[in-house]
Amino acid sequence: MTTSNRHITNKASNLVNVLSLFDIAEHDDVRMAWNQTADLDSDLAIDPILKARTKTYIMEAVAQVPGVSLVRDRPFKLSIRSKLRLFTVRTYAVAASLVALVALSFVLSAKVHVISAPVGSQIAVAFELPDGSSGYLSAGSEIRYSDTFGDNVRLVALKGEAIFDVSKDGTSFVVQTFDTRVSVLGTSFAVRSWPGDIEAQSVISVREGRVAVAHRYDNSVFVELVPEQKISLGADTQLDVGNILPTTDNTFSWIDGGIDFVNMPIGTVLNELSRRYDVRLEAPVSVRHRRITLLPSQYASIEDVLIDMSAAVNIRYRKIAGGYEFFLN
Amino acid sequence: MRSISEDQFRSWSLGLQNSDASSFAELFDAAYDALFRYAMYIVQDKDAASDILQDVFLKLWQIREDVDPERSLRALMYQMVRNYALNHERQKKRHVSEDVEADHPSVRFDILADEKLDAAHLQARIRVWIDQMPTRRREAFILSRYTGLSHEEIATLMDLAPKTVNNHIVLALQYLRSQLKEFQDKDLIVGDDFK
Repeated sequence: MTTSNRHITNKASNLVNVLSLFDIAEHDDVRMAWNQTADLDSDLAIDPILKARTKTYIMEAVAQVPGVSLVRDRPFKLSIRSKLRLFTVRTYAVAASLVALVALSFVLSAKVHVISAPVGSQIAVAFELPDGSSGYLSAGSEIRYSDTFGDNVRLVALKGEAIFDVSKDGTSFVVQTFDTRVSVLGTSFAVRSWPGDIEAQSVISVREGRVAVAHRYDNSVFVELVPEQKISLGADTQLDVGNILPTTDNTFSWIDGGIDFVNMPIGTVLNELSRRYDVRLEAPVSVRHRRITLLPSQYASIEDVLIDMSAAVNIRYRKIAGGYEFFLN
Repeated sequence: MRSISEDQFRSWSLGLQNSDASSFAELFDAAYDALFRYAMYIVQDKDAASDILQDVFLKLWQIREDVDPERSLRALMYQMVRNYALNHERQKKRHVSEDVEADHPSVRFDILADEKLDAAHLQARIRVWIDQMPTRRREAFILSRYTGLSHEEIATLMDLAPKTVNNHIVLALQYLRSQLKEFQDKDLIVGDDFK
């Protein structure tokens, strides 16, 4: 018998195996003892949260940097965290050479490039990727890609909100968020995905071309979006053409500092505003779950936004250390 | 995990070789629970077991190109969990003085601690009987009964002769059988005679 098939032929049933070791007269008893122990192992409950957390960590490591060794206790912090703020092409060049210098001291570690838009940037931050694709990040958002970007696939991990103008170069361009995969060949689209928001979900909106959207860990099912279509994917949302909606005029307005809050939980709006204006914004839980629609406008200051919000939902706000809080009358 | 076919494991092995993340995610979903229980059986600590599983899956991904689809992936994963878990125990032992870490096997299913559980219940009794077995015998029995590993794979895993594994399992079943008979004869008497 060869090693390769031994485990297959030998494992049909361990009971049969075991029985052969007993006297025939004892078989009934042994079989009873065997059967009585059937389900004892399922007794220890598995903690689904622990399992999900481990899975996220593992799959994050798998997706980000093939072959890089990660150190436990520092989840999601990879060996090099090169923060680049890209405002012009010239600063990019300087930053890139700095990154190259830093990289010398970490020979053999795979590099992960991080581009983030600082909290407080009311106008979107422009970025450019090695393949010539470009786009914008909203305040507090971040994208990451590794040195292997473009080898087989152009993979970008996104936390937050971004618009991508993808250059056509034949390999597929994939944006991965905490729950979604968006694949394209060359097009322009926006992804909004804040894991911490109330009703956290990813929203994908297309300006040009076509994109395919799938759940993060299951790309067997996907929907295709064409220009002026968008889809919002919650944990329970079916990937179904029935869930595709038209984009609104304001979907892409945040690039110029515009605001587009239609029927959104106040908590989500406050998260967005506090990133945009770099200010602390508090509200009671009951308020955070109420919904609000704010007319698209350009606001001069955070106070202007708060005045509009408090009028819209009939609550009051006051100044606190580092920001503002809403309170019930 | 014993209900998962060898063919299924083989297709995950192939997926691993091709660096297919979605098949790796599938493997994680399917294998996690059983491997976690096995790790728990050795280390008796949720956080440690969780760390071990994390290490095992990361390691598995790192060595994915060297995983031989002709060898049992199931056996490989149990082997990895066992190695990491025993390693964890060795490191822990270094921090615990000899007298505290006496040779008395701790209760494995944690059932005696659970006072809400009806001690007369047959299932609870069986767990206690399993817990009372000598350590190696108990491990051989649990691996044979709950993991779908063949006795030869268990022998490799535990570094024993296949014959010894068979002996362990025979003794385990003989013991369980005699306990069961006694239990039925006594007609469900509640007591702590099993302590």
